[in-house]
Amino acid sequence: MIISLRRFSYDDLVGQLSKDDKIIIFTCNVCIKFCDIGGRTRAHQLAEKLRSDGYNVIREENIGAACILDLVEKRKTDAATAKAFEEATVILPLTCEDGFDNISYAFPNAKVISVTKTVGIGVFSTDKGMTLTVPFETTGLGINIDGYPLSEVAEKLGCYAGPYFDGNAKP
Amino acid sequence: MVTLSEPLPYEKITENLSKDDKIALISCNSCVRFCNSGGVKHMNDLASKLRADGYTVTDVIPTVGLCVHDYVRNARVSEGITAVIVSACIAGWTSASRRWRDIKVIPTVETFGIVIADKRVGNMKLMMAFDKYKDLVGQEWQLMTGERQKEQKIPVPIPEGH
Repeated sequence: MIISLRRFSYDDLVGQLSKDDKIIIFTCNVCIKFCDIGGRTRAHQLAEKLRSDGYNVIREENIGAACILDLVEKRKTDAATAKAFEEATVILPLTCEDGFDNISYAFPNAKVISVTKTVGIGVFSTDKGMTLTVPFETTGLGINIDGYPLSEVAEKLGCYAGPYFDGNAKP
Repeated sequence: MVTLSEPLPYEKITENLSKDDKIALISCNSCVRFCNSGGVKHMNDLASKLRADGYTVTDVIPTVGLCVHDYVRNARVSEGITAVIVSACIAGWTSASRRWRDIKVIPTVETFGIVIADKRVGNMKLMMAFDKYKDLVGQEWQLMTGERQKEQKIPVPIPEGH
C-alpha cells in the first residue's frame, strides 16, 4: 500500500482557504484510509469540522481508487457529481500524490491543494496499524521489514500522521 | 493501482534454492496481477515449474494482498518449510519477511514505484519511482499484460520532483 502523511496541521490547512470558497473534499478509499488520513469517515469528519468553522464544503466525494484517472474524470460528467465539480473553487484531495496528480489534471479550474506527502510503500496490520517498510530514498530511510511507525516518519520529515480532524473537539 | 513491477527471471528465483528445500509459495493478487508480474496464476505456474524441475513445493497460498500483514500472519503453512517464495511487490516481500525471519524469503518481481492507470487506454503510468528507476518515470505499461509501451497515452503530467 502507498504510504502518505499530512503536509499540514488543520490550522495550516484552513489558512489556505477562504470563507467564500466552495470546497469539495475528495477522498480515496484505499491506501489513504489505512494511513488514517482519508476514507469516508475521515473525509466526513474534516467536512463537518470545516463547516463548523464557517467554511462552505459543498460535497464529500468518495472514490474507489483515485489513482485511476477514468474514475476521477467520470466525476466531470456523472449526473450526480458534475454540477458540484463545476462549481467547486477548491478541492482537498485526501488521497496519495497519485490521486492529487489525477485530480489536478482532471479539474484544472479549481484550486487543488496538495495536502498529503507520499513517502513510499508499506504494510498494514491490525496490531501495528500502517507502517512504512519501503521508503522512497528522499526520506533518508532504508527498507525495514518491521516498518517505521507513521508518527516517527512524520516527525522526521516535518509532516503529520493521522487525520486532519478525528471527530474530537480539538483538531 | 499502487505499485508497478516486472517479473524476475526464473533463474534469479531459483539461484538461492536447493533441491532439499521445502518451499511455500505465497501470492498477492492485486497490483502484481495488473502488472502481469505475479498473482495467483503466476504462483501456480511457478509451483508447477519448480515441481517439474525437482523442487519440493509444500504449500501454495493465494491472498488478496500481502501488504495487509494479517493475511500473511494467518496463512497456514506446512511444518519445516525452509524457503518462502513471494509473488508480490517489495512491500509484500517485507510483510512475508516480517513473519518468516529465520528462513529464505525470495522475491519474484522487481518493484519500480507507484503508478496511475486509465482503463480507457488500458495503460499504467509510472509517477513516482525508487531511485534506481527514476529514468523510467513517465513511461507507460499495458494493464494486465505488463508490456512496456512506446507511445504515452495518459496525459497527466509528471510534477517536478517526482
